[in-house]
Amino acid sequence: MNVRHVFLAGGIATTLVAACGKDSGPSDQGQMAKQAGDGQTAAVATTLAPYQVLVTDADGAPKAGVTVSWRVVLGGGGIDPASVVTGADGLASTVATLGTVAGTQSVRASASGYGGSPVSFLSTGTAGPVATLVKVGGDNQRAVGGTALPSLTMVEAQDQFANPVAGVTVNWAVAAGSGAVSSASTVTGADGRTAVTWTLGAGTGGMSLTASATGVPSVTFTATAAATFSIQGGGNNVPERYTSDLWVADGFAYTGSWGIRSAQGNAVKIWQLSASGAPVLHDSIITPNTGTISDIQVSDDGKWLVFTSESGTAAGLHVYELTAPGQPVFRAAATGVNLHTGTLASIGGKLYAFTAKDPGSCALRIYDLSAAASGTIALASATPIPDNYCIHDTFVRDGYAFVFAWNSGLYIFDVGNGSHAGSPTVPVQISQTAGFGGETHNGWWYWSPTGEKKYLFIGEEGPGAIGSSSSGDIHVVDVSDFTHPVEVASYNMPGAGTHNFWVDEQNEVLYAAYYNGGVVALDISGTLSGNLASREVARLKPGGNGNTYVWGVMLYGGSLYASDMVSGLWQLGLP
Amino acid sequence: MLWRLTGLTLCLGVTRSLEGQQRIDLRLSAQAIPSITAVDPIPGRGSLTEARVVQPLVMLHAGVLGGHLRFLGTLDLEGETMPHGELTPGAWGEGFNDRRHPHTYAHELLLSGVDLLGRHDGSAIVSLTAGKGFVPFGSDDPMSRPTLHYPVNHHLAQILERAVVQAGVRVGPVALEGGIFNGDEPERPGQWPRVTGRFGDSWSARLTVMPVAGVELSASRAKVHSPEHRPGAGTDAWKWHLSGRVDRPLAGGRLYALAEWARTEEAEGFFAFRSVLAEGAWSVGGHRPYYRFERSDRPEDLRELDLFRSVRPHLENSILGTTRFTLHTLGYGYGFELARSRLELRPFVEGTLGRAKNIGGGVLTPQVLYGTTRVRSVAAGVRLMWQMAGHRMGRYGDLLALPAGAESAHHHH
Repeated sequence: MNVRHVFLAGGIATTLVAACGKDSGPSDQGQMAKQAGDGQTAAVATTLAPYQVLVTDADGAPKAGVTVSWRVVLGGGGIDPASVVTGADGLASTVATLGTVAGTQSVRASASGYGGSPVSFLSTGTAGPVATLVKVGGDNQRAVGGTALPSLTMVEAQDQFANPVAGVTVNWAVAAGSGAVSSASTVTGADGRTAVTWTLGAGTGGMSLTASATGVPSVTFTATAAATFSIQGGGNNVPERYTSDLWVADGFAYTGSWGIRSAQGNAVKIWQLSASGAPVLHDSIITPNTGTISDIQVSDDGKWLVFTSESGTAAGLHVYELTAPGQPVFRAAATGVNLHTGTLASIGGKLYAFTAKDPGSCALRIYDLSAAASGTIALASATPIPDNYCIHDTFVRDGYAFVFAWNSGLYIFDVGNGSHAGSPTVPVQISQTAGFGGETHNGWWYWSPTGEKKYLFIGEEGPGAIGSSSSGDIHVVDVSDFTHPVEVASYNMPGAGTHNFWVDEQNEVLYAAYYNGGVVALDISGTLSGNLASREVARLKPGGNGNTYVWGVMLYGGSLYASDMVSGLWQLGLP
Repeated sequence: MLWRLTGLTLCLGVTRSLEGQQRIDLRLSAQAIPSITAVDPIPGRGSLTEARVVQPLVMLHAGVLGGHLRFLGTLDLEGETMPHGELTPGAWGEGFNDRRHPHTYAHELLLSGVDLLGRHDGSAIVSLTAGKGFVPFGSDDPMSRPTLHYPVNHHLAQILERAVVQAGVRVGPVALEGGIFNGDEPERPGQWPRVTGRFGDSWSARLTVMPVAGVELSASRAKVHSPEHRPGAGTDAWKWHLSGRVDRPLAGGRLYALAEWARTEEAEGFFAFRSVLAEGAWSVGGHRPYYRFERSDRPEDLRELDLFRSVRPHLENSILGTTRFTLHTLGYGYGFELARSRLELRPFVEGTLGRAKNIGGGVLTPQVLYGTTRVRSVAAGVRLMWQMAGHRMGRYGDLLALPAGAESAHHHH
């Protein structure tokens, strides 16, 4: 501290001492002191017993005719009167009314020139009787039926002025649904609040819980009990490889493999489904000199098993004849070309594979498999796709090929429908539309039970760390006019991104693989628009947190089969 | 337009000093490092020992107009001597993993106008450089630093082999450089930058302060558009770099030290890769002990059947995880000068010890890839250098030249 600071501090101290001495020290005129009323406690807005001061002269005798001023300095409320002249007994009184906010009220009395002035009266306002219950947390939650809601269900008891009221007994009762609460009766704490854990009843739909207290209206909480998938079989059954795509047909499931784990992703696993549908490993196809089996499918007639592969000299299209279900026999392959995905479709009585050449020299390559039994695969056509992060997947139906081409968006080709004179050998492009999140990956053209063919579901694959994080939404595109697809709705799962789809068209449910988000089911009935969050029917992480990264899903035999990159093949019961 | 401006400025600045300065200064230099490296582990587990000739360079420095117009050409023959890369713990980039990639043949091919305004701007130095080479970002290329093996952070702390136009100005102890370039990385040694459609889609800037002789503090920033996808549809990278560098006499020898921090974000911040590195060398007599510490993140990409290689361009915007390498590298070299000090032979030995660990999840973890988290390597070889002293890859336009009379290890004409 320098000299300047010392002088400044000294000056301030001197001034304060002088000021204090003037107001509270002995005075020639006399003294003023509290006489009655200090330290009262009552409910808010209550009129208190009078506050009273005594004014005396320099000799200590009561002094009449001295004007005493009163005012509220803290806590609200009022005083009446605000100015009082002392009587012959030297007394001056006023009546205070507490404010409406619980807490301390301070009223100050002052008489100019009298020692002890001003004097302060402190009283405490407490909450009044409970007048209402207010919901402060836990309303409108969602959980799987039969499980506890993630957040506490909480109320606050308040008086008529919204002050929290402690010690109020609150009774909790399930009003709709068959759930339970952690305690049927709880008492509010000092903050006026009390809470319970609400476990929803089994089943699905809206459920409600009431909180009530004597003499006040009850409040009702609502929650939604969601359906869920159930784990019926499989899981954690491919520890040596990362699992990729899947297909299920004729009592067998086929799964691909990806990248490198302790073994290379060069295997197709063949699973026989048990009587209950649980997958049991039956056999494997190992394709040397390739690194990933990227896509796999069985033809509609069950005769052909076809898969695509990436990396190595064996990258390409591999065709096996299923001489019996689960018994593939190699027939032909087109190798030396990196194929990211492949889709089988029959056009004009011939079986074709619509494949995605990615990366490098990106193209929609269509192979004629009609002579595969004799060991021949013929390239019907190769349509270049701009190297705008290439082509990722295809969906073929009714002679139309939907090509999902990342930043280039959606291509629609006539590959045999005839509407635009297209064929597998000469695909005719109908339209190309960018958008849909920008990372257009896969899709499904949905035909509803009513025959409507309006919606195309597109999967966006955003950035992610494979095995732990992902991003990207489901985009619903109105393709009523193939030349002008328009996005009309979308679905986002926070913290996860979508991959492949399967649609139960008869029951109008979209099942989507959601990588680290597991699997999700969406109600796609009726008109779709805006945010589809409310359409979510169920979701599940089959392997649990840290052990779930679902690549694809497929509905078969009343179960949903899910291929999980880290935890293998699962059989899930439907919600 | 930029080229015209360069020519115009050159004329303006140097016309008055042309007389008697028509001499062409030429300097040819070269280096090669025959070396043997053993690394444990390698992808797929196990260990591997390989002998390679690495960093084979032929460089031509030429100057005219009293050094105001300079040409630098660096022919890098790694595409011939190590087409499948150099075993290097943690190395990544340009489709190589755990092997450092070969550089392009035309490693540097640059024309610089130095001190373009001559005396018109007082003591300031204004330079303009165009051609193929390093962009003004980060620290010197590891090739011009003490250790044989490149650090893991090579692609976090340098941006190289781009078609670049950069301008720089130095006023007193402060130099500011800025450049525009093509964002795409090369995919093979014989590939040229994709100038058409890509040139100018990326930029960088670097501020360097030299408070005392031999000490530099620098800060860099860059935006690199679609480095991993040559056609330009990939995600962008935002890069930051801070460093302090010392190169000055000490205790009868010469001290070199570098400390740097770097960060690269991709996919709008979805991925972030960080690095800290500190290294030093002390040269006294012919002896040169050196040490490097670094902790750097590496993105893991989808590997090909050859686990040292990754699929390029990427199939999606995904990575398979992030590996953080914490490595200590210790080395020693001894130099012999021959041919009137124009030829230097520097036998050396260096070893690396450290750890690799997965951060943030993903499927390609060190345990999956290597079967262990421990990293070890040892290397020995001989640096053969012909008139190589002084070149700092990544610094052009002579902005860091010290004032006349001050000692400089890198000033060259």
